[in-house]
Parts: sequence; structure tokens; C-alpha cells
Amino acid sequence: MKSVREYREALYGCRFCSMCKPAAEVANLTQFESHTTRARAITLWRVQEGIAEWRPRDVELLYESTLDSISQAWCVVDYPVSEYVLAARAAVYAAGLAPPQVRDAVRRAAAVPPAEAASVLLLGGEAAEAGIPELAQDAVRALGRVGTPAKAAVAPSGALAYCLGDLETARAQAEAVAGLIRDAGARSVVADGPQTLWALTRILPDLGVQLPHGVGVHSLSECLAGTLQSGSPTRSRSAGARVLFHDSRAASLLAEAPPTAEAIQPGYHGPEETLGKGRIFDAPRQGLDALGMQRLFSVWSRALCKSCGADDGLWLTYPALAEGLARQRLREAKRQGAELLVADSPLCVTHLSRFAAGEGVEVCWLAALLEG
Amino acid sequence: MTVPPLVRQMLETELVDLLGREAVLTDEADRLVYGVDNFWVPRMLVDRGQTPPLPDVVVLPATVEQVAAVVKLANVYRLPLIPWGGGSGSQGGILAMYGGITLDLKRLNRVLDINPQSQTATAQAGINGYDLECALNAAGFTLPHYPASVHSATLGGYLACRGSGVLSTKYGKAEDMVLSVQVVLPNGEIIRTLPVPNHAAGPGILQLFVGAEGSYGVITEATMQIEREPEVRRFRALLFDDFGRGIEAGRRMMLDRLQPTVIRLYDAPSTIKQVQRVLGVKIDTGAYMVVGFDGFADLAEVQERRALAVCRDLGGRDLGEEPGWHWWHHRYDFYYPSKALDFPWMFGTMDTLCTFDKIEQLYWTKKRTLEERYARWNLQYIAHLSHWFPWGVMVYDRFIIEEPPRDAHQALALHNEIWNVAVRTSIACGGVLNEHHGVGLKLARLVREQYGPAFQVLEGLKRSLDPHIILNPGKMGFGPTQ
Repeated sequence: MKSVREYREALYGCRFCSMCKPAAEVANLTQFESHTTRARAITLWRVQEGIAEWRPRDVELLYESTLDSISQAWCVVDYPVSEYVLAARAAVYAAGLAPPQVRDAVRRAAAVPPAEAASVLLLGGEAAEAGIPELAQDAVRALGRVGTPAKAAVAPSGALAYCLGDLETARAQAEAVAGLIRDAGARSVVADGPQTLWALTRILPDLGVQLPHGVGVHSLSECLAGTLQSGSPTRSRSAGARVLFHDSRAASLLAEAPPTAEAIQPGYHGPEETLGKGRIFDAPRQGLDALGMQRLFSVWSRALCKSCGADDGLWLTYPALAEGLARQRLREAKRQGAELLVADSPLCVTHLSRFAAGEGVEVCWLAALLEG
Repeated sequence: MTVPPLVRQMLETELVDLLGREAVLTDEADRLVYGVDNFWVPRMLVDRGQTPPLPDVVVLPATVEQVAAVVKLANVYRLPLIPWGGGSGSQGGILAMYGGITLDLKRLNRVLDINPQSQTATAQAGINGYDLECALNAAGFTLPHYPASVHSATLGGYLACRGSGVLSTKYGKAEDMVLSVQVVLPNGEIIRTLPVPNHAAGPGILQLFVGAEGSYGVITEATMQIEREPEVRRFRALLFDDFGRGIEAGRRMMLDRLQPTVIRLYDAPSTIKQVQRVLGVKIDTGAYMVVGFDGFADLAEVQERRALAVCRDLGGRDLGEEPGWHWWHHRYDFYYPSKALDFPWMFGTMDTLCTFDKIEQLYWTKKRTLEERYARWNLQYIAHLSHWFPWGVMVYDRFIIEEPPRDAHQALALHNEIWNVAVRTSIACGGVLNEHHGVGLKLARLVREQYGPAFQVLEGLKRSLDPHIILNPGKMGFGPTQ
């Protein structure tokens, strides 16, 4: 991970730019200007230039957010916003300035279980963070239905600690995960959701942690979609339902191409592919299509999907903000006419489900849609 | 801090009582960004390690009644109250020059009504421009006001500064689209202007508040004319041998009432520098034009054909549809960092407006005056014409100094001097102080010169409505809070 100072050019540009305002999730919830990416960039720029020092409220504002990866997706210049937010959090954490709830969130991580021999290992990283290890068993059952036998292992992937700036813990967790895969003798690892996939493919290398040689890493959505598309008899009881698919912010960090300039103009009506390209977005949608769902269009999808609050540690550190974001997403889905809000992230599903009662839309994990 | 600590604490207590803790911001970490808009001066101060003027407290009311209560409280404390929309203005209109309370209106962000029969929409003033457009699109309509600031500005901000969007040539400016507004007066009374803008019920008061930048009242709601989304849009790019021929082509299109949505005509320096840098169209000389039409397919096709004939008569070379569409799809790219004008340069947009008979003289006089007088600073003057009327056109002209003084005080002195010269030249050539960015702090000192004896009308209104100058002091030529 680079230091904040190495992002000087991006901070220089972002500090006076408010073009990404419609995308800023937390700022659009609170309406505080201090929650915008521009405000964060002004603060970071002043700190890294030595003009100002971190004050407690500056630090809070740094954590009262996601990683602002949606601002990055929105930016036609493609400034690495999430990277400089990560770097700033790491600097703050290393300096011992992180708020107590941030340190507590990292400490609550589940223990790594002993390895069980498996050729295909389903890694429940998001399930571990959600505190619901049973979700990993759901994923294993879904894989079984499409003919891919796997065993589940539930362990923190390091993503949460990494997002919150605790690189030491993140590295320890990443090494433990790599050891688990090695000990299991797995040839293939299936990530239970985008955040786990992000950890395995991006965070581990960034922390200098290697997976055992020759191990293939796949997303659960990709495994399910591939088989469903090839004519698997698996079906869903929800076939025909009007569905809005919710991407997690981690998915955006795995995008292969950002949204086009045209897609971020007011009045954009599609096609959806211009909102961000990549298998991480296509696979779950192909799965839904194969199950006969009616997918609805939203400009706030793919790389531009607004956080539901379950991203980047926010749900643990500032739960009131995270609840507000979840309720916004649920209400938007209802306004769009969705009956189901489907996500491929166990963390998003768990978080959204907590607030779905009374909001008029059902929340469902992609893996849980399969039956038979 | 401008307010004594105990007074500030008492004020905070009252504000929290009125609005709740979550709507009152006092920490400097929260207030800092409220001292920065797109005006060069506060950005320069931040760039050079200084802190711009900040409010003592920021409040975010969620109802018009709460706005009124805050206004009344500001009167009790005799404290400045500065309305804030999106913070995207370029004139320093949001600067808390004397401290006080910044009134962030973004929680007033609901669309209240879309009336398909009259094609009107009523929304609260704090709604973001992009969000408003998305809500209207979902109902099959559009507010054809697409300013550069659409991602950041609010409906109230559009009106407070009399903004223009890129399609203003057909659909008009913000003040042409508004039917009525709800306003909180400086004494806290909530009023509405008449339900329609055209009438003979006296002179009307709608346009007193539109363009007043919060000096006469806080706009909290507006009813706007909206349009059906057009059946087609058409764009075309052309290249003229010189700026004058391009101006003449635009003039004829307007006088022939061909209803172009847009005519963007770049002078030679802009054609060479900006068009290539942002749009990637490499042109070595001449004046580049993008012209557009929309509406029913057959009508738009005829209008475009007529317009192209006008251009052809004046030697305009048709570059085809593709570069025109490229501009449309990338029209906001100009405003992203690295493509927009940015530090360490000194720069300013001096947009003005005059009738067709004066436009060329105004452009050349201003260019010569500024480039000659500030030759030592290697001042560059560039311009394009982008908001056309049936009688004249706006010059979106800018100055750029790539190596301004490093010292903040010297830089500010030079900046202000250039602005004085530029605006006085515009006025002397038959132009106006500003076309669509407003007055703010930047041009406040020049409002009296623009209006002459007529300024007493503006001042008399201010004295009557806001005797203690509570609302947005230091702007519009009015002084500090009394």
C-alpha cells in the first residue's frame, strides 16, 4: 500500500471538485458537506502537505464513510479515491488515532477453523464478518445443486481489517487464510462474495501474502452462473419476479472497466453495461437471467452501485449511518418496482435483511434462490 | 471565530433545540468545506495553506418552518445567515465573510409535484440538480437546464444565481423556466409569489428573489416548467475560418428563429487549446462550432438543414455529426480536474452579455485590453459563445495567468484588479456585469457601478426587507450585518 503522500496529484484534483456529489452515499444521507469526497480530499491534502494535523473529528469523518470507491467510479479522470482513503486510514490507524469503535470492529474477528481436506474450498470470508457462518453452508448447498461439490471454511479474509487501516491484523488474517487453503490441499477456492474475492485477489498480494501455487480463485456467482447458463435443471421458486440486483462496493473494486462518461450524465437510461464492465457484474446477472428473473434497470448499479452500509466496515463502526444507507437502498428498490432485492454478497444480504421488514421488498442472496 | 464563545454556545443550544443535534455542525472539521466554493479566492487560500472565512455554525433544516425559525433566531442574535445549496458557485456567494450561520438547504430535497397537464414540477430548493433530473426522467420529463454544475448545484442555486444550462439557447435560463417560488423573508415570514410568472397584477415580485443570491430571502421551493423528453436530438460540428463568421452564422440562426438547442462557438485560442485538450479534436486554426436541435424528428431535421445552409453561406465547413455528439457526451468533462482550469494558475470566467451589434467590439476590446495591460503576466484571454438570445449572445470569456504571484495578498490584489478592468470594459462596451454565474463576493463591489442611480432601487428593497442585513451580508453591494 502506498502512502497518502503518493496520492498528491489525486488529492490536488479532488480537493476542489464536486462532480461526484450525486454518488457520495453517506453525504447524500446526512447532507453534510463534510461527508463529501471533496471535503475529505481537502483534509487529506492539508494533512499530507503539513498544513494541518489530524483532529478527532477529521478522523471520525474519515471513517464515517465507505472507501468512496463510488466517487472513483464516477470520476472521468479515474482518480484512485478508494486507494487514498485506504492509505489515510492505514496512516491514522498506525498513529493510534483510530476511534475506539474502529479498533473494536477489527478485534471482533472470528477465529480461523482447522483445515479440512477439500479439492474445492468455499471460503466464507464475508460470512465470517457477518457473524453468520451458516451462510457458507448455504453456498456449499448451492454449489452442490449445480454439480460442484465443495467444503466450507469460514474465516476472516483480512478485508475488514484492511479497510479499517489495521494492516497488521489484515496481514495476519490473510496469512491464516493462505495457510488454511494450503492445509486443506485445495486446488480451487470459491469466494462466497465479492469482498472475499477482493481479499483473495487484491488484498493478499498487496500485503505480500501468497496463495499456494496453482490454486484457482473463483467467485460463487461465476460458478453458479456458468452451470445455470449451460442448461442445469436447477430452478428458483422466485422465477418471474421483478428483481433489482445490488452490487457491493467490493465488486466495484474488481471492475474491469469503469463507467463511461455518458453513463454519469443526468438522464442516462442504459444500457447497463456502460455502468461498469467485468465478470464480477455479469456473472450474478447471468445467473438471475438463467433463473428466469425480470431484472430491473438502475443507474445506481454495477460500479455505480450505492453502498447498502455493509461495505468497508461502516456497518460495524457507524451502525446508524449503515442503517440509513440500507433503508435508502430498500426504498429505492421498492420505488423501482422491485419485489426482490438480490445481492451476491452475504454481508450485504445479512445487513439489508435486518432492515427489510416493513420496507415492502424482500432481500435474497443469489445462492439462496436456487432450488431442486 | 467572530462570535464570543458564550454567545456561540447559547446560539448552539437554541439551534439544537430547534433542529436537533444531528442538524447542527460546529466543529471546524465540518465547517471548513463550507468556506470553499468554486470561486478562485477561497480555493487559493486553501491552496496556500490558509483558512477561508468560515461560518460559526452550520445548520441543516429539514422543513420550511425550520428555515423560518432559524431566520428569526438570526435576527434575534443579529448574526449573518448565509444560504448554501450545492457549494458549486464560482462567485463566492456562500462565503461567510462575517461569520454567522450557514443555512445548508440540502435536506429540503423532495419533489413535491409533477403536473403532466401543465408540464410543471414543484420541488424543494435543496434538491440536487442531477437527482431532480433523474426524478423527472422517471416520469418521462426533463428540466432542460443542464449547467456544468448539475452534479453539484441545487434547484435553489440555479435560481439564486440565474444560471444557464447548455441548452439555454432553446429553453432559456433558470429565470425563464420558473413559474413561482416559495421564499422565507429576512424576518422569517413564509411567502409565495403569484402562481404564474406572466400577469398584469402589478410588477410582480418573482424576479426580485430570482438572482438575488439570498439577499432578499431564502428560496425554499420552486415550480418549474418542464418538457417532455425529446423524440430526437441532433448535433453537428462545424469549422469557420474566423470567429466573426461564426458569430454571424449564430446571429442569423437566432434571427431566423431556427430554435437551436445549442450553439457553441469557440474563438481561435479555445478552438486550438480547449477543444483539442478536452474533446480530442485536433484543429490548428479557425472557430469551432457545435450546433444542436431537438424535438420531433421531422422538425429538428428541417431546422438543422436550414442552419447548415446558413453556415455554408458563411464558409462553415461541416465536420459531421460525430464530433457534435462527442461534445454532448463529454460536455461535463471540461469541469473535471486536470481538464478544468486549476492551480497553480490564476483564472476567472468573466461571462457577459450584449446585443449582436456590440458583440465583436466587446470581444476584441476586452481581449486587447486585458492581454495588453497584463502582458507582464502573460495573461491569456480565451472565449466561447454558448448562450444565445434572439437579440444577442453571451461571451463566456476567461483569463488565465499561468504564473501568478505566489504571495496570497499580492495574488488577490492582482486578481481583483483584473476583474475590475474586465467588468468595466464589458460595461463600457454595452455588456453587463455577469450573464449566468451571479455576483457573489467576487463582483459585489461593482454592482453599484453597473446600476448607477438605479442601485437605490435594490438598496431600498434591501433596507425594507432586511434592515439589519442578516441575509448574506457583504454580497450584492450591500454591507455587513448591522
